[in-house]
Amino acid sequence: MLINPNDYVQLLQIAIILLMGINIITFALKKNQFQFIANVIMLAAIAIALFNMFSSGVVQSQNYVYIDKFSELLALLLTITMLLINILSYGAKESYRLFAIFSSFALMGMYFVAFAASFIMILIGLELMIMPTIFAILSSRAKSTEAAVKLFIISALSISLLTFGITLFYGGTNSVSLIQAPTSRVVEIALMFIIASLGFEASLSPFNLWVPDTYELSPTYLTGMLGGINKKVGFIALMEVVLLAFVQYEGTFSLILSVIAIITMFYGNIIALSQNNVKRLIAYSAISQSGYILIGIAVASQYGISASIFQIVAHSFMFIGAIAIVAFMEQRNRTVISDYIGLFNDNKFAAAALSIFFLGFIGTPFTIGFIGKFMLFSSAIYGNLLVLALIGILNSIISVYYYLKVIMSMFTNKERRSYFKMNTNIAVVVAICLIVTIAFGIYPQPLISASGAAASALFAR
Amino acid sequence: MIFELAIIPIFIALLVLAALKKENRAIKAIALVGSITPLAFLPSMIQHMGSITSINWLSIGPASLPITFSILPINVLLFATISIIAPLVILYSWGYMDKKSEDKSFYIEMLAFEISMLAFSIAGNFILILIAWGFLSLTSYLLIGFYGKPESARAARKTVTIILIGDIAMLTGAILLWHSFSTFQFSSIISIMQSSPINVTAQVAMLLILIAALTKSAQFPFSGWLPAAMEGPTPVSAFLHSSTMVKAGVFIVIILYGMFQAANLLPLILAIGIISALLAISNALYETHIKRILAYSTIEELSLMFVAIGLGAFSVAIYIFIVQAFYKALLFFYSGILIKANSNEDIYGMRNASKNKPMYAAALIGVLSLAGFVPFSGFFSNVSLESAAMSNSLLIYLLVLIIDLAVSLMIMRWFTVSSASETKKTVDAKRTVNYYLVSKHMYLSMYIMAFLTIISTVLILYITSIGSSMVGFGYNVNSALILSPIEAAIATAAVVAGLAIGYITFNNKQHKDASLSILLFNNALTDKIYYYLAAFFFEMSIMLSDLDFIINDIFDRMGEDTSYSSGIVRKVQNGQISTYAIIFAIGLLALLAYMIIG
Repeated sequence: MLINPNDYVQLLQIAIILLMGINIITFALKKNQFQFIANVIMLAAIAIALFNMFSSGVVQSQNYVYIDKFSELLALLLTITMLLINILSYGAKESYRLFAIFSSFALMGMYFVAFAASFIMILIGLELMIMPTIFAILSSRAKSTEAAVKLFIISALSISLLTFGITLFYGGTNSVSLIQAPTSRVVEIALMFIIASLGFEASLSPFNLWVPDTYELSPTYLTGMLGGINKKVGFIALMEVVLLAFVQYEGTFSLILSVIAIITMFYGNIIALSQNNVKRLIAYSAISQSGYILIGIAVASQYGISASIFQIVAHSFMFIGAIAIVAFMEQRNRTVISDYIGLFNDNKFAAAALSIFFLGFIGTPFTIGFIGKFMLFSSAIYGNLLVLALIGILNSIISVYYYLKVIMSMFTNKERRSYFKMNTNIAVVVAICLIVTIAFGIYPQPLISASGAAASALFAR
Repeated sequence: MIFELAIIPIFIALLVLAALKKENRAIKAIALVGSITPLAFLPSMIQHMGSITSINWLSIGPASLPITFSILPINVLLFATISIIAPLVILYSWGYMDKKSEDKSFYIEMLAFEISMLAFSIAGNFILILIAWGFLSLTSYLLIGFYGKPESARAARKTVTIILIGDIAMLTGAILLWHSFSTFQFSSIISIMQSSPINVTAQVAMLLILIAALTKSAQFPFSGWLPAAMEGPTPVSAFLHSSTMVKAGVFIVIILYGMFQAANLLPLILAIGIISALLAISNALYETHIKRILAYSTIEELSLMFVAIGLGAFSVAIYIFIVQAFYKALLFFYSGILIKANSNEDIYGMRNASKNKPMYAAALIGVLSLAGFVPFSGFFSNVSLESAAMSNSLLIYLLVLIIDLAVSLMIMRWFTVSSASETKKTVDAKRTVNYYLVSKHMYLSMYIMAFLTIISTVLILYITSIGSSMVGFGYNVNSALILSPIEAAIATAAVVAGLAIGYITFNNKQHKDASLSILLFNNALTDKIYYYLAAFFFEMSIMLSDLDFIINDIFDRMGEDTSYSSGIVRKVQNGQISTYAIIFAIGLLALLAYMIIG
């Protein structure tokens, strides 16, 4: 039976609605296993639909929704990473059912952003994403209240600024669609508000001070979701907004985003140097990675955007993989770097995997991180932003210092050896992230052409 | 025809094999076979001499990453040197690394180290250089910190700080060059730079690459890490000091000679070489740790290579570059045997080495080669370097002569003190010294190395033709090598004087601190001047090598944990949500202010 490519759109809609419906029903039934299997099946179905849409090149446009290769690729990424987080969170026995239902709502919001053709969709989508995330953090354990409250207050600030920015945009253009806006003072002010509010979502300095606290205090699978998925949604929104609505202001936003990228890279890397808590260290490193991703958007060329999309994919998998190892260590109450000494003796797989993820963060050849950073820095050079590329390289080398500190402590010998067994769900997540990190590091061509196609689709809108 | 690439799969296969096998004997054998394999590629490399092959590794959008292999005579020379010395080092390790548990990771790391250096030796563009450079740093870091003692961790950390400075400089320099010439390939950049007037960007880039070379070759002011790296196992030191790692810095200056020439950096290279040599040799005269003396002498030899390059004596630089590898490996092999036999690392703790006649004779070959005694390789390198210096200026000539004299004194002190016979009857019965218990593999590789040291002298006959053949490949160099009889006579006199003073002074073990007073005729005033000078240079040098502690100190104050940190960041990252909101608002206001002003 052949399915017409356009039917996948119908299938996608049904699957997304079913995902939420099934979650509500299984939640009421109080069956963890049921809910988990239903989630996995539905997410896999959505991923298959999106994959088929991507390969058959479906383009559909309505007033509020626009489906092309850009949104399909990123929605596919969001689905797969959400699947990974679902597998990871299955270890948190009691809170899993609540998390699953909240995450399905958050995923709905993320799709809104990825498929958005208007500011309203982005606004609703971000709101729909962030609220369930906060509830999930809040409901997991008592210690997380602080994390949730911080996230809530700053997100409220950010959403109100976004609303205000959209209002100003409407004032200047008489439209809330993501269309090319004419140059006017009001629209320029709108751009500033929107950059500030999306800077919160994408954890860019100076709108990201909540990040280390919230990442550290949240349950670890939610840290994975915050850094691996939610943050990327912020970048998707940023790319759509600046490249579709504010093309006229390329000089302005390019300069602003360059400066923000530089501040973000230095802020993340320099503070990470002195961190002892591995989870917090990864949080700061994620901040600096946001700075690298922003380089491609600041360049604002088609190649730059494809580099950013590539690095978004790369960082999602490396981050979730690294966070999964942190979750594995937390089960044994090991949090600081000195607890990681001799991990190679206790569990070779965990130590090797975390080393590879860190080498990927650094940008070592034969990992996905190298290709991403190479694309970003070369796009900056081609876009005549040589300084940005050099600062990026300087930061990459500063970051070697703290990543190597953790790697070396894992490979140090120690006297007393104990064997740590890894839970199956964590091992599955780590293995998948590891395969992506290495496979696309050695043979990156499929992902490069996919992100190139996504970038050209965005420019063709 | 990219036959060089065949090395990589062979090595990967060997690494996998080594990782899978459980028996130690198998791992040792595999490591030896693996390390000797590259020799098989030499005939075909010589056949394709002068070819430059480029393959495209990655091509993304407008950007591409080509990897270029270059088979020029100097590349082949280094390749051959590595692949001759590596199997001997592995054979030596069979005896030296006697703890069974350490075998596997040690041999794998050594093989990885060798591959990185082999890739480095045939690199024809910056991409391959950078990859090999990174892997060299990583593997050397692992090998230096191999024993996992606190001191070795500290040494490895010190090493990594300096190496990172080099990495930043290297990457930035390569990117700046690419930005100005839009190519990574050496031969293209050299021809462009030699034909057009130099611009500032290219000059800055070359300066950065020079800094990178200085960090790798442990030259002033980055020399602090090499003596500290002596904490590693002796085979590692032998390998690291002879043909790998520290040679990388000099080698990059040799192959980029045309660029440094075009950027007018040769006088700077000369000055740095002289300063480093003086600094290193004065430290070597103080030191009593058997391997650390050799480390300082390595720095001094590398400095002389820089001096030769700075003088424009291209062939001399290549000659010292190759022959030094053999006699330095030989001396490290000897010191490893002494360490094993005496269970001590101080030269005053060694005894009765002269009783073992074959070993003593083999070591003497190394000592005389290093000192520059008449028929040995060091003699030719001394004389040719001094002749080149003489044609430049008298001052440089005198400085080089003083350095040569001090070198012969230093190595004689090292040799005499460490091999002196035990005369007193107060020997601890438990600490018997038995050279017959040391593994025969260590002796075997030492004797082969002594033989190779003598053979390597013959290179002097061919070095001029090698140098002039480089001219054919676009290297605008002066390949002449002068051996004037007057310089030879003066050099011999200086070396004999140094050896004689060293032997007479240190033959009885009384003069523990005699080094300084002998060099400066025991004068209180000169003693003081010397002390301050040495102290000044030493401080300059350790200032940079201790940079990691300064960095750490700053950041410890800045960041740490939110609950007990201090400084600027504490005020910002204080866990208070109101502060975060205020910072957010400041950021927004800054954006709006920019919009209003701009």
